[in-house]
Amino acid sequence: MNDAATVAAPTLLDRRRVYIFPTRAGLAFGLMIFLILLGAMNYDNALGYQLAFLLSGLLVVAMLHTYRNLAGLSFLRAQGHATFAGREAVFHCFVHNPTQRRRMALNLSCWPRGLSRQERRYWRQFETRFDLGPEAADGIPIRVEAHRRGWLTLDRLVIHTEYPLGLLHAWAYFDCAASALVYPEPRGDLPLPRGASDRIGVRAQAASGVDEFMGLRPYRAGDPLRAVAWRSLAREQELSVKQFHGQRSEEIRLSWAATSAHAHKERRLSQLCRWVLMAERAGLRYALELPELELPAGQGSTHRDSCLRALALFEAEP
Amino acid sequence: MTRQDLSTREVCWLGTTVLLCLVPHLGQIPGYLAVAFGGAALWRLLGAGGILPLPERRRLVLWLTVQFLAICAFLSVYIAHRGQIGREAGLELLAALLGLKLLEMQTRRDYYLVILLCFFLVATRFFLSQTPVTAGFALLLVVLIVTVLIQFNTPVASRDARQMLALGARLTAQSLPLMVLAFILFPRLPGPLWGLPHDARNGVTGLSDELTLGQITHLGGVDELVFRAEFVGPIPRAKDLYWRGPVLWRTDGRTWRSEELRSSGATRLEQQGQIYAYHVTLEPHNKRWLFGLDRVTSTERDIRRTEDGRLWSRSPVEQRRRYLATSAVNYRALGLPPAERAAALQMPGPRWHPRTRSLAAELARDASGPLDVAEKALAYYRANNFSYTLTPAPVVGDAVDAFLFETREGFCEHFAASFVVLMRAAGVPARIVTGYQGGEYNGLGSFFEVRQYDAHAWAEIYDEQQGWVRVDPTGSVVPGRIAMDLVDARELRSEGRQLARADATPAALRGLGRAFDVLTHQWNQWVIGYSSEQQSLLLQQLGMVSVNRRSLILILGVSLIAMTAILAFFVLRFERKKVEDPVQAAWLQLCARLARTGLTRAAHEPALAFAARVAAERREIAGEFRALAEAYTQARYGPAKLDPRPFIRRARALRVRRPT
Repeated sequence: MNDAATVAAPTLLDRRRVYIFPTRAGLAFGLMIFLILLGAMNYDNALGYQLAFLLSGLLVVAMLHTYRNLAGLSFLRAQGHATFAGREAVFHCFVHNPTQRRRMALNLSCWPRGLSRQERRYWRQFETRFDLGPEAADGIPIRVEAHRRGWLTLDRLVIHTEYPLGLLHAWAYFDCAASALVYPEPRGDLPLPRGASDRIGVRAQAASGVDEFMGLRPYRAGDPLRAVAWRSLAREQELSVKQFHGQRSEEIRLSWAATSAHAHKERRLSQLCRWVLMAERAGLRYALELPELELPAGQGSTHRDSCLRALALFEAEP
Repeated sequence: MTRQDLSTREVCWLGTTVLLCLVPHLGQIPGYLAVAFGGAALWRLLGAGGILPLPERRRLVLWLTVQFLAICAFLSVYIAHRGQIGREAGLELLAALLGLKLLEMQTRRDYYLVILLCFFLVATRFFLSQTPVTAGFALLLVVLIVTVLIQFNTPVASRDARQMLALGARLTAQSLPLMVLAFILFPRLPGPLWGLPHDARNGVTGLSDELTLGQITHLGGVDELVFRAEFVGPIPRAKDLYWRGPVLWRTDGRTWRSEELRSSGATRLEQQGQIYAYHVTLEPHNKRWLFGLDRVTSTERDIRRTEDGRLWSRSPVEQRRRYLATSAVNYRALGLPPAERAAALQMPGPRWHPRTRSLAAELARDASGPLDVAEKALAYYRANNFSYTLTPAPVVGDAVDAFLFETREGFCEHFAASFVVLMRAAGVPARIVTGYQGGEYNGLGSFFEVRQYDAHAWAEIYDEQQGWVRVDPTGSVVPGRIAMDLVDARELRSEGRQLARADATPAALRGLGRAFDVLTHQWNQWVIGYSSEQQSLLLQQLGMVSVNRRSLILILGVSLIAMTAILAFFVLRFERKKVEDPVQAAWLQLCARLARTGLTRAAHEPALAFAARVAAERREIAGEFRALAEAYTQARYGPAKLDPRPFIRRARALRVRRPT
C-alpha cells in the first residue's frame, strides 16, 4: 500500500464536524430546570436556585462529554459486500479511535443525501450500536436491505451518540463511496437445461483413487483450492494445479432464451441466477448467454461471481 | 426513543433511587401515601423479577385497577387539602404520581419521566428545610440520579457500577463551578413572582402582636431559632440584652393589642454611652416587625422605626433576612404628645379590674412621682410571694385581678400586663413591650443566638424627666434569672444542657458543637440568606460599584462562558496520547500540524508513504518533508541510535500552510 493514491485521507471528527442538539429527554430536562428555577425565584429558595443551577451546569458538562465521545474519531473507509436481492447487504465501515479512551454507545447508520423525512426514518433502522476500545479500528457492519439488483451505494454515513446522559445527541457525517453489488434474487423453478451430453452424473471431484494424475497446469483464477499443487509451490515454483483423468465435467449453457417460460425480465434473470448457483453447486461447467453478452463455459467461484455480476448489471438502471 | 422493555436491573436502579429520594419527605407525606408508594415500588421490583404480574395494558383489569387507584389518590389529596393545592398538596401529588409512574413504566420515555420527577422530589424538600445536611443529602441524590441516567445510556456489557458512580460524581463535580457562579451572579428578584400559597410559611411559631392572659401559648419549651445577632465591636452585657419587638398599647381588659403606627416625630431620643453595631439574621416569621437591641438608634434605609421603638419591614419576612442596626442601651426617649398619653393611659371599661384599681389608688396616694409608684408596685409583688411558673393555674374572668390577688403565679406576660394596668390605674402612662431577653453567646462566631424560649414581656412607664423607663416586673420577682437566663424552661433546657456538657462532655466536643453552630450561621448568612443586597455588596467588594440588572446578566453570561471554556479545556485536554520517544513526539506533532491544514496521515500509513502524498499535495514542502520522513524512519527503525535533537529542531522549523 505504498502507492499514495490508494490511501484515502481519513475523516477526522473535530469540532467543525460534530453537531450537537438536545434530545427530547434533554428538552424535557431543560423545562424541568426552568420550573425549578421559577419555584426558587418565587419562594426565594436558595437551595432551589442551587439545584436549578447545578442541573443547568450538568447539561453543559453533559454537552462536553457527549461531544468528547465522538471527537477525535476518524473514519477510514467503508467496504460493501455482494449479496442477493431480498437479503441484507453488509457494509463494513472502518472507524478508528486513536485515543486511549473507550468510546461508549456509538451508533452508525446510513444517511443518504437528499432524503425526505420518511425515507430517513427508513434508513435509520439499519443502525449498528457499538463501542470502540482504545486505539481500536474496527470494521463496523451496517446491514442494509437490498431490494433491487444492481449497485447499492452508500454515499454518507452518520455516527451519533447520546452517551453519557442521553440528554444530548451528538452526530457527525462521514462521506463515503462504498458500493455493494446486489445480484438478482435466485428463484424460479425451471429445471437446469441439461445439454446433449449423456455423461450425467460425472462428479467434479471424484474422491476415489480411480482418477489418474495427468500433470500440472498453471493456476487459473477460479480453480478450486484443493486442486492447487501446494508442494510445488513450496519448492518456490509457479502456482499450479494438479489435473486428473476423469475430471471432465458436464458442460451446460444457461441462456436467456431458455427462460422464456417467464414473461418478466427480472423473473428471467432470477431464474438464470438460480441456475448459476445450482450449476456451481452441482460442479458443472456452465456458460452464460445473455442478449449481447456471452460468458464462456467455466466453473469455480470466480466464474460464478462474474456470471452473477453480469446478471446483476444486465440492463440495470443506474 | 423507541418503545422497548426495560431490563430488571434498570428498574432496580431507578426504583432504589426513587425510594431514596422519598426518604427525606417521610415526615411530611401522610402515612397511607408512604405505604402505597413503598408498595408500588416493591410491586414493580417483584414484577421486574417476574414474581408478580405488572399492570400492563394487555392485563386490562389490573391496569384499570391501577388507573382507578391513581384517580383515588389524586382525589384524596384534593379533598384532604380542600382543593387548595399548595406546597404540601403538591408534594403529595408528586409522590403519588411518581409511585404510579414507577409501577407502570415500560418505555425509555417513561424512564426519563420518572428520573425528572425524582429531581422535582429533591427540589420540593428545600421548601421545608435548607440546612447543610439537607443540601448534602440532596447532592448525594443528584449524583445517584445522574448515575442512573448514565447506566441507562451505557451498553449492557460495559455497565460497571463503580465506574458509573465515579462518572456520575465527576459530572456533578464538574457542574459545581457553574452552579456557584450562577448562584452568585444570577439577578435576584425583590419579591415573589406570584402570590405565595397559603401554606408557604406553615408552622412558624413565634411572638404575636396580641397578648391574652389566660390563653397563652407560651414559647417556653420551643427552642427554635429566632435570630442571630452578630456584633461588630463591643458586646453589651447580658443584663442589657432586651430585644425589642411589638409594643402593646390597647387593652379591652382581656387582650392587649399593638397600636397603629404613628410617626409624629414627637419622641426625642437621647443616646448616652456606648453605641453597639450588629447584624441581625432573622429567621422568617411571616410578620413585618423586626427585632433590635433596645433601643435602636439607626438601621437600614428600608426599615421603618416607629415612635414606640419598633422596627418595621416593608413586607412580611418570608425569607431569612439580614440587616444592620446600631443601638444604645442607655438612652432617654422623651416626648409624649396628648394622643399618645391618652393611649398610654387607656383602660378597659369600669367593670374590669376593680381590685387592681383600688390597689393602684392606694399606691398612688402618697407617691412622689411615676417612678415612685413603680417602686411601690414592685414592692407589692415582692411582699406578696408571687411566684414564677410557666404553667399557671387557669383563670376564668378578670385575669389581672385574679393574678394580683388570688393565684399570684404566672410568667412574664402576667407580670408585665398586671404591672401596666396598675400603673395606668395610678395615672402613670405605661405600655407593654414584647420581645426577647438574653440569648446564647457563641464565642467562636462572636454572635448571640436568640431562641423562642428567650421570649419575654416587660413594661415601660413614662416619667416627665426620664422619658420612657423600662421596668421589668418579672425581674424583680425572680431577680437572679433576669440577668442571665429568664425563663425556667430555658433554664431547664439550656442551663441543664450546659451543665451536662460541662460535666460529661469533653471540651473538644463542646467546641465541635460550637463550631457546627458557626458553620450553620455562615451557611445561613451566605447561602440561604444570599439576597440582592449581599449580591451588590459582593460586587462592590470586587470593584463593580454601580451594577444594574442588565449589566449583571451580561457579567453572568460572560463569566459562565469563560467557566465553560475552562471546563472544556479540562474535559477535552486528555485526548492526546503521551508519547515517550521525543523523535516520535516531534513527528506526530508535525503530522498533527499538517492535519490541521487538511492533510491527515492515516494511522496505518508509513512515514515515507505519507511523504509521497505530501509531495503530491504540498509541493512547497515536499523536499524537506521527505528528508524528515527519511530521518524519522532512520531514527525509529534504523540500527544506530541517533541524537534526536537535530530532527526535533528541523521538524519544528518546518512551516506548513493550508493550500491556497
